Amino acid sequence: MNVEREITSWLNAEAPTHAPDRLLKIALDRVAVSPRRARCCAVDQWVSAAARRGRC
Amino acid sequence: MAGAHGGPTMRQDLIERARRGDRDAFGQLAALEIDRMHAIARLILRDSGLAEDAVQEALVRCWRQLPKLRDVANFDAWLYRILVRAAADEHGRRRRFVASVQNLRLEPAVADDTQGVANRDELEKVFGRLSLENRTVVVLHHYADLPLPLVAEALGIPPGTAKSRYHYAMASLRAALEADVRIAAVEGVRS
Repeated sequence: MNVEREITSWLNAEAPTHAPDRLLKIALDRVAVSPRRARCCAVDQWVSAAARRGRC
Repeated sequence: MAGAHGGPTMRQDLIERARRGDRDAFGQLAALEIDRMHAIARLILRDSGLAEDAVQEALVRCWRQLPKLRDVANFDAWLYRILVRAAADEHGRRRRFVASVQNLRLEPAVADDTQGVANRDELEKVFGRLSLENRTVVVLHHYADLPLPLVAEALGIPPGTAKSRYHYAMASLRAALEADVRIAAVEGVRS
């Protein structure tokens, strides 16, 4: 018996072929509100605060 | 983690654009990768809910850390590493939660049926009992089709460690399969 082949075919049979449809949307919604770097976040906050004060 | 759709050039272009901050490109890239990411997380974690949480977290980390990726050619190993770490974090969170619930309930642990069932379910049982680290090596090698040196690279561990984890896991799985064959042979003689 070829154990390696058995394991490979078993894993392929076990693996789901598609992620649930909602998963991509949920993940991208989270990405949409995720700043890339802390510095960007700080700049965003400064720009928002300045906009609220009417400076830009 | 080659995507199922789109050629390598298109994929590379998406990675480059996403790295520069193009969220639409990242969305397309995520759509290409998500089925495979989900399958790997599901195989490693053996739990649909945990796998989905791990994939979400991995995609968020991927977006945040993409500017640090120096070589686009290393994207697959880099993404595997992020996914496996996210899976390990979800696994750890679940273990801590289960431990806290068990402490609250103060119920005796139910003994595991180590006799097993005489069929392929035994393979699933043995696989489920392997440590997360050992399962990860087997999944990356046999399902994601990565050679062991690349598995080591994706996991950030020495090649020797990947090799020993793999051999330990395979010995356990081999024993389960061979026991299954022996039992089937005995049952064949009886009937």
